[in-house]
Amino acid sequence: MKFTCTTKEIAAAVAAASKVVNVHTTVPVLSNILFTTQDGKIAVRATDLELTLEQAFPAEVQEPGSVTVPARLFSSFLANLAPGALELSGSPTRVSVKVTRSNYDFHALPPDEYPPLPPASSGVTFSLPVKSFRDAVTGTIFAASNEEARGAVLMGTLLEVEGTTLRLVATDGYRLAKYELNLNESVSVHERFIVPSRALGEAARNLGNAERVTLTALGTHSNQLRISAGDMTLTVRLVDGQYPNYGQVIPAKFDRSIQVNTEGLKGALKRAQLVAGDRASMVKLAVTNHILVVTASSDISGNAYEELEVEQSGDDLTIAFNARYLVDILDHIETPQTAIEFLGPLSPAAIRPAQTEQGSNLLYVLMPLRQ
Amino acid sequence: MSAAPLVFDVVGAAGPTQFFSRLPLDQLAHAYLFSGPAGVGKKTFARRLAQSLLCHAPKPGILGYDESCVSCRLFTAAEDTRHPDFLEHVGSLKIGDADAPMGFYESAELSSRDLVRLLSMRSYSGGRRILLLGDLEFATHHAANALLKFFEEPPSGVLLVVTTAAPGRLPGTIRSRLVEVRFGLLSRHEVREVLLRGGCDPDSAQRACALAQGSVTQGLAALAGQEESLRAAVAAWFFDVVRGRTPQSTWATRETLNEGLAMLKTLVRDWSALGLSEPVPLLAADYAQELRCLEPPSRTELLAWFARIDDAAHLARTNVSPAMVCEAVRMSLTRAG
Repeated sequence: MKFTCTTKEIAAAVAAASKVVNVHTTVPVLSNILFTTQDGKIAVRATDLELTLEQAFPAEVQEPGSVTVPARLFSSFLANLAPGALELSGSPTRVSVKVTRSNYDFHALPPDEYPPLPPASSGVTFSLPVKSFRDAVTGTIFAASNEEARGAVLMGTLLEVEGTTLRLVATDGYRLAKYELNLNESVSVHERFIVPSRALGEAARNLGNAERVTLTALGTHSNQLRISAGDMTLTVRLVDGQYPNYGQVIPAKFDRSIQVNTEGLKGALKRAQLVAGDRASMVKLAVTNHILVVTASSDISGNAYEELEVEQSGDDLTIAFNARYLVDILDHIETPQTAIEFLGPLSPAAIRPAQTEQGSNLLYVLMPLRQ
Repeated sequence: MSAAPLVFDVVGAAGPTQFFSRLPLDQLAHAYLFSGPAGVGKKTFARRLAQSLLCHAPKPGILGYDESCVSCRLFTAAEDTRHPDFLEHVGSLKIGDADAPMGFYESAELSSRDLVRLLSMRSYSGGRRILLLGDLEFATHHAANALLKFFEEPPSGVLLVVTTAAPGRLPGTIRSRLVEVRFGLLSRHEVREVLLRGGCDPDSAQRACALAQGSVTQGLAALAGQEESLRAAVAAWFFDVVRGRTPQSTWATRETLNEGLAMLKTLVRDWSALGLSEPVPLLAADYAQELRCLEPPSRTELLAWFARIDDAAHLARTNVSPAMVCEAVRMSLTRAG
């Protein structure tokens, strides 16, 4: 194998791919990245067997073939190169790199040891604008569980496609994020995939400047999902299991609601959280006569009291939340005003952006704390 | 074009081979315990079983694979299998970090929690997922508890195979969830064949299989001189203890405990034999000179020591640490000395 390319392009592709590599793997070849020649391009592939990232970049191919190189070492080497042209040639056990007057040799492992890509038989496929996908992913995955003890299902994000609607749902049992998107084309089947949240995060980060992203279920039992945009293809193993019936935790109707300034509430909560201090970070929200009072107290730190003006409809209410969860949610609301709906002090509250397009797509549900 | 003949390349293990050959695929259990002495091919059998189940070639039963198929090419002759749907871990298992950040397997050591999460993923190639836990020991009972639910009811399409030389060391709650398949000792001919395949020259293989006592591990240890060094270490420890000195080093590990206790019993037996009026052949004749320097033991002491060593051999089959077992024997012999 032999090709010539720019140091900038190969460094970017290798840096993206090497993030997937697991340095502690027991399979030596998985510490490497695989270079394969394609039509006028080079594909860089890295995998930890759960997530496979393939990134292509333009190159002048002199000899077709494949080579593998140690990911972290090669990525660090490329990051320290000055801009210019690079020539890479390789055999199954050695890779040589020439850059102007430098010449480096790296030990390699045979490319045929690299795990093959999953079977190409594909199932449901749909595409959407990259921006919509990125917004949906960043707006939901933070709500997924990060506790392994709660199981892989809750660590994943549900992708549900039905007709022209794509729904992303993530929950850790205390909070829930739901984002709905409209697809241009209708999908004939109702499919549900549980995708590891980290994989979705990696996908959103690596979408680059592409306009559309295509998602395709792979395998006879839809065991993997391929996410491709431009020169990037990410293939991820799906989580096996039954996603909880999230619809049950979203109240059908609410009897009280407020509209509050997003940044004002976020600031008040962050300050009150400092005083609340303990593990649950309990803050109380009391709504009376268009005033929202945020209070927190602890034996160690003292008391917090903040007032905010709100638009109120319905009766007065006092409810307690974990401040950290509420701040996390407000961090993902882009509108100046946030709408919060309540059913009672012990029922889940619904939080969404007020009066915008984002508001119609996005819904957060947060469980209150017992006061 | 006729299909390539299927193979199932294991040496020995006639009983387990017959068991799996007769088992219909739909009656395959979700978890098996392969038990038997060390070095009789339990892990090798498990790898070949996994290869058979993941092989794409059509077959009437469970065993057999076509080495030319895409899946089988990922099973190398060596132990570092690269099949994405076959996961192997040998040795002790810890519970893992509950507060590890969300993500994929990144810890340096595979833990119980890692295994649960890894096998919660769907198959890479669309077929089964197989987990082999070789020479399994749990570092703590928490590590075992983390896998309890998983052993009882793994996700669909997951097969668990646990191998151990000491099933008694596994918690009863785990053991009760596994179908046990016993592996017997290998014949001399089978040990020789395994050693020859492993690159041993015919003379060494012949010598090793004479000392192997049905175990490839023991045959290889004999070749490497480990058996002799263990014998010498146990003897040095014994003479230190009966002379009332603190032993400078310990010989007891999971692998050497049974063999070491057997050597201790031989030394005690020879020591008592030297005190008899009629000459009795010694089993460890090379230590006769040193044993003669010791004061002959009384009948009561002898009975107590044999009982203590038998107790220790029993403990060695449980989860008690080798150091504790060894210490129990030392205390008994020290009082005597």
